[in-house]
Amino acid sequence: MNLAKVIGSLWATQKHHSFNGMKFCFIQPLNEHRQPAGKPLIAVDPDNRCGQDETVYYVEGGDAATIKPDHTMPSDATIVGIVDSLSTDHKS
Amino acid sequence: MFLAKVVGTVVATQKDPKLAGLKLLLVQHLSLDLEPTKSFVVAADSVGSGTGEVVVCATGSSARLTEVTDKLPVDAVIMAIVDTLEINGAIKYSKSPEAASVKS
Repeated sequence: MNLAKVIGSLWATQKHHSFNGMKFCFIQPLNEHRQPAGKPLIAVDPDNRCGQDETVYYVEGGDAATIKPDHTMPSDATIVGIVDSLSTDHKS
Repeated sequence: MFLAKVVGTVVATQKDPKLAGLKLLLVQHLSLDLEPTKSFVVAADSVGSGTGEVVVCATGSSARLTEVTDKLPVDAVIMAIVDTLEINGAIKYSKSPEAASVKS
């Protein structure tokens, strides 16, 4: 899983039915110092809880499709949690 | 997933027989500011999108998880048509005419 910051939202009424009731977020991947690292991408927010500028973590690839049991989605990036706090004693 | 604009249709009579009947569209990656980039992808359409529309595409194994692409040799599928895109609080795109429009 990766860290990211929510930088935008995307609404689509015409979408695959497995996304019904879900919103899409534009997210900017972050490194462990919460600095932007890599290209922004679109991720689905299954529980509609992400807000602008929040730090989240997301799953990529095939696993992103099977986050919810018996509800597969054609998604290659799914937000699975919002970060409350992040502590690292990583000295670099 | 990535943001893209449908820029064309791909017709192929000689293809894997399993792909018969599948609508293939040519999509161009868009940047956050809806600027066309140089990368193009042939994507299967699962939501009835057409040329000129701004769409969202999923890639990899997830692309096979729609009814039209199930068990097919496909790694990119259009799974949403964008109504509104907001970045850092500013509306960057809206399908309805009165808001910002896509720079072609």
